[in-house]
Amino acid sequence: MVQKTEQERLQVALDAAEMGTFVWSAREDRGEPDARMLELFALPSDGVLSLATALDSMIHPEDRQRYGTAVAAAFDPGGSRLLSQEIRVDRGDGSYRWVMVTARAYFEGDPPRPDRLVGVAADISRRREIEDALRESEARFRQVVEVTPQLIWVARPDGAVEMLNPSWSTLIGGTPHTADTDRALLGGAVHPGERDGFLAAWDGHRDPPAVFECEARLRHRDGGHHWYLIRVVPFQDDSGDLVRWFGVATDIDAQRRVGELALAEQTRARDEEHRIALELQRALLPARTVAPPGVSIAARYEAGSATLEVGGDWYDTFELRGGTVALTVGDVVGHGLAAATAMGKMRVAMGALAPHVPGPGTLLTHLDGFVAVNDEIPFATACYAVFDPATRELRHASAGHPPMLVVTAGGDARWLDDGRSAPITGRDFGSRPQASDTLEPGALLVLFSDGLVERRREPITTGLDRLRDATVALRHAPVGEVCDGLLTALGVAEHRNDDVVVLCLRVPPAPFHQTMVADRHGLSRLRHALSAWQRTLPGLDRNDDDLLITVNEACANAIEHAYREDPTGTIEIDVRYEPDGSYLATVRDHGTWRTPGEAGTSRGRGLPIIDTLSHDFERHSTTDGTLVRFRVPTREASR
Amino acid sequence: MTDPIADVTTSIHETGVHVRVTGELDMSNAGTVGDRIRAAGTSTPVDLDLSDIEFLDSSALHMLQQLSAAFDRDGGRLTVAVAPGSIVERLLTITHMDAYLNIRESQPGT
Repeated sequence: MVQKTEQERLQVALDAAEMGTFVWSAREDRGEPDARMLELFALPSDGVLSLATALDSMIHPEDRQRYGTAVAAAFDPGGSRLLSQEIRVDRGDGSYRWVMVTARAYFEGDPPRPDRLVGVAADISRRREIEDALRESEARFRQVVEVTPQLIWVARPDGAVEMLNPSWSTLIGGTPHTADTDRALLGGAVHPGERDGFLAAWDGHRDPPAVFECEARLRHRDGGHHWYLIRVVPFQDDSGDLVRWFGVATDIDAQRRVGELALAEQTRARDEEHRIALELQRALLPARTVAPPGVSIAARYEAGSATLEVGGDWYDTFELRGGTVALTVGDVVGHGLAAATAMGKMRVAMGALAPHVPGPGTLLTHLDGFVAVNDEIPFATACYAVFDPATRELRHASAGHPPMLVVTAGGDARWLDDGRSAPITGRDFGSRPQASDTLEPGALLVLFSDGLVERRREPITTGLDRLRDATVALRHAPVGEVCDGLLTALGVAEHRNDDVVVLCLRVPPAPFHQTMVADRHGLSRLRHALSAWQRTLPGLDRNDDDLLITVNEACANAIEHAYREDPTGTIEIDVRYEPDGSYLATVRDHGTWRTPGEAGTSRGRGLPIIDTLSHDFERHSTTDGTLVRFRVPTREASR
Repeated sequence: MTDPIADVTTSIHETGVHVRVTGELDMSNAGTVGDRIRAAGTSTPVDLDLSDIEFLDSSALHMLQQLSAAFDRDGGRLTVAVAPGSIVERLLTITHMDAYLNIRESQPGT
């Protein structure tokens, strides 16, 4: 029972492997093949298998001798007694199938005599075909690898270099044992300039394995470097396990050189256009800003960097009738020569229109008509404002331009959001609106182009917030320093995508005015009021004691000499802060000076002190009283 | 009577009398402040500390000049303590009074 089961199990195994079995008697040269064995040897169901017949006709002539020898060897009692041969057997139609015969030799008697061979046989034709094809394809691969001018290497999954083709050895030098790993092999050959970047990029493609491609220079044996396109491909088996790394490097040096030459020519031409456009732009922008009395104005233009070309930004300032001053900043969309010339036209047009229009809205309305007949200006934004220093009124209008910013001396900021309309495109928008605002004494007005606040990957509001904060921080500086400070604070040099214009106007600070009675005990209060006024002026950390000293001396003179302590007399004190940082002080009394000057009094040093600390000293005496006027420079200016 | 804009503090030390004036000196109080300093005696060493003065005018300079003359006459010695960069130093310099006053440098608040 047990035996039967064993046999059945064996048969299943033989069937599964498509194996035939046989027992062959050595003495009778007679085999007992099973049905599949007969089939393998193309014998009929009653066929007989003998070694003699097999060696005579069935087995391929080239295999006969080898097989005969192997059978004889198996029957050598001193040997392994095993037979394992792959032979070609005639299928009966002149073609051959590959059969693998595996058998054991048995002996009888003493001394042992060969008795029988028990074994199995299987058709291995398919396997042999695959092996042959593989051998052939490998041979072809080797031929290709050996003759190709490309550099080829093969590495094991751990990177150990298995093979370098002759081109590699010839051009780069070395053998598979030159470097422990493919990483060391390539790392040693890649130009130092690309090495770290190359290895870092490659490392990103190793786990999980992925195709890697990179251009890099490889050092040739002769010392020169050539550009190569390097490609590393992972070979994986069916289950996805990495089997080999296959690397190819193709020389692309010639292509690169041609490309670089073309690029250099392109760059040179572009640089030239940029230079001309920049020159033109500078020529088209005003040489200076206007300087109406008491008002300080400064502007800056920064071109886009060399690779980004000149844009169409402009600014301008002009004095109009009635002592008002006009300001504009605008931006013609586009770059290069065309934008620069279009900008020049817009600026000239505005300057020509400005004296003839009643207000900013009308000026922008007229520009629509101007652009409509000038097709070189496809799209522009502009803002325009007219400031009256006497009333501090600012009338303003904007055509699609970023809003103007106002920062007071106290540090409050606001955007002039009204008086806005669409950009200038040549379309008729009808009558454009304008708005009006009253600027505080000492306030800063900032006009700018969007290049000042725009940065890539950032909302525009972030840039506007940055501009507002920077202006608040810079509000006490002179206007030129405010412009420079804003360009720095907004990182224009590092983040510039476009050209940039910034224009600043400072409203004259409120003058100081006080009337005091001619009482020596009122001087302290006057000085404190004057000191408080000074603290509202631009320019922090200034030592302004000189103004307190001189005004105090002038008032003390009036108390002592004009009124001789008459407590009903009054003294008027006026001080104006000038754009150059100096003070213009006026002290007026309505009394009568007993003696000109102040000789012989305890205050004999008063006038010499004023004289030392001020200049442009004047004194006018009339029947109505005396006026003293002098200018106190900043400590820096007086040096 | 207390002065509304200046304070005068007198203290006696082994080395002499120390008079400290703070606040403002102008034509409204230079005379009375001068009298109070003089009260400390003009025939002894007096250290006049002006390092915390916030303002002074030509009347105060006149007072200092007269005070200095009184010390010279009476055989005392007046030393004036002045803070560098202060309004006192500036006025003493431009009037050249620093040439004959005996000045020592001092820091405000000391």
